[in-house]
Amino acid sequence: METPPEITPASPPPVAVGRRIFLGLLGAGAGGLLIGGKLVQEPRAYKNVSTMPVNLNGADTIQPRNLVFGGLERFRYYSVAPVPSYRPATWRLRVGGLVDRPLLITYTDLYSLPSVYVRADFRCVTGWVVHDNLWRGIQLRTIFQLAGAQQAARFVTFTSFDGIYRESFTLDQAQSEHAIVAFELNKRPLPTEQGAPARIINPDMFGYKNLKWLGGISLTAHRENGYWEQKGWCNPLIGSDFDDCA
Amino acid sequence: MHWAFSTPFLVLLITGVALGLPQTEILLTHRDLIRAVHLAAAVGLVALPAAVWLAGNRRGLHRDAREIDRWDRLDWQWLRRSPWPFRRSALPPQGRFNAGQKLNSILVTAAAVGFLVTGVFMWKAEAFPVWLGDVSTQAHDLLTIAVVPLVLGHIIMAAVNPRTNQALGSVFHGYVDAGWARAHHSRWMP
Repeated sequence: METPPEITPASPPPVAVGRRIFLGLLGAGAGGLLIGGKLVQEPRAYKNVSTMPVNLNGADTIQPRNLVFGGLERFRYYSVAPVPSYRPATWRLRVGGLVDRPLLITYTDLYSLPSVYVRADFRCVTGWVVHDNLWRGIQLRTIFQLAGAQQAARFVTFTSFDGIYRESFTLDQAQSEHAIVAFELNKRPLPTEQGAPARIINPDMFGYKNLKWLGGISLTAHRENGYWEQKGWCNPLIGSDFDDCA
Repeated sequence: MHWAFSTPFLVLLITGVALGLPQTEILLTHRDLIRAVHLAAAVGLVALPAAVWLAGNRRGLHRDAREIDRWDRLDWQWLRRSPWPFRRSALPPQGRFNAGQKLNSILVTAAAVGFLVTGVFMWKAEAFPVWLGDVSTQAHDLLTIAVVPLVLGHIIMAAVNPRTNQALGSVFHGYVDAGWARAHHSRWMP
């Protein structure tokens, strides 16, 4: 049995504590967002890109610098199909379309073709970002030269060997010095969920344009819409790149 | 009101954890479907309580809100003596809500506002500055981490803890045992 508590008859009147806790929490939350916003260093955002030769000694991997939220800074894995598996011995990257010499690039070719490091932030259209990733990859422009891109080519379509996902760039976007077929992240082979063995990385564009599990590259005269664009999705931020969106 | 809020809240929590955990998000093949459920439940989290307020007993809800807002010495005493199971110290009498329930409702409502605000920044990220989407995503994660123990604690108190579990039935059928109410909630004067 619980003993009855002693109650002082003349209790002080109740105080409006609830609303103070509530409003205090909302204020703290808003303050936290603003302070966090300062810490994620907006001026660096979106254009923190550099490209350098692979033999550069200074190309070290950098730990997240963000003190408060850095511990939570990680990739979120979005996939529209079950994460596909591959075997290095049989994986092929087909380069075709409006080219003079269609190519079949093998897993070992990834390491023997000339590659570069691209250091960049990875930014998802849903808001999250991972700063200072060091990608190693083959520049798309190198691949276009090898394959002999034809004059009529204006766009590039990328297809995933998951059989569903596809994306497209303008040829200009794909010719950027930091648009690469990436096969290493932070000096390690791409993890499966990062699109192993190879994915597209172009830090000028949001993550959904950076196709994973790359299986095909095709040069075209007309834009072939990507997976999300086929679903009627357009990104107003990138404007002119999405001219042919419905 | 309890269920109008807590049903969408629980759906959001479950779908949100499924969408957010690295262990589950790579397994999801119907991510867009779960995302749609998550967004629909977010609408419900605003719409259902609003509907209850519009159609329901507004005076009663107002009285409840007032009781949750007002705290006196005995509420603090109740929290200090901590209602953990199998402790012998007596708990001071409470009103309709005990101090733990009051605190829970305040915290969970504040969290819901935080989730809704950061959620809108994530949902419509392209309409806001990039830093806001970035920070909101991480704040949304932190809020989830904070809210899971709160919800679990609330459920354990209501369903398991012998010193408070009489409240569980009442939230389903609306009645409490009169003797229990006298013993624990003697300052409840409807």
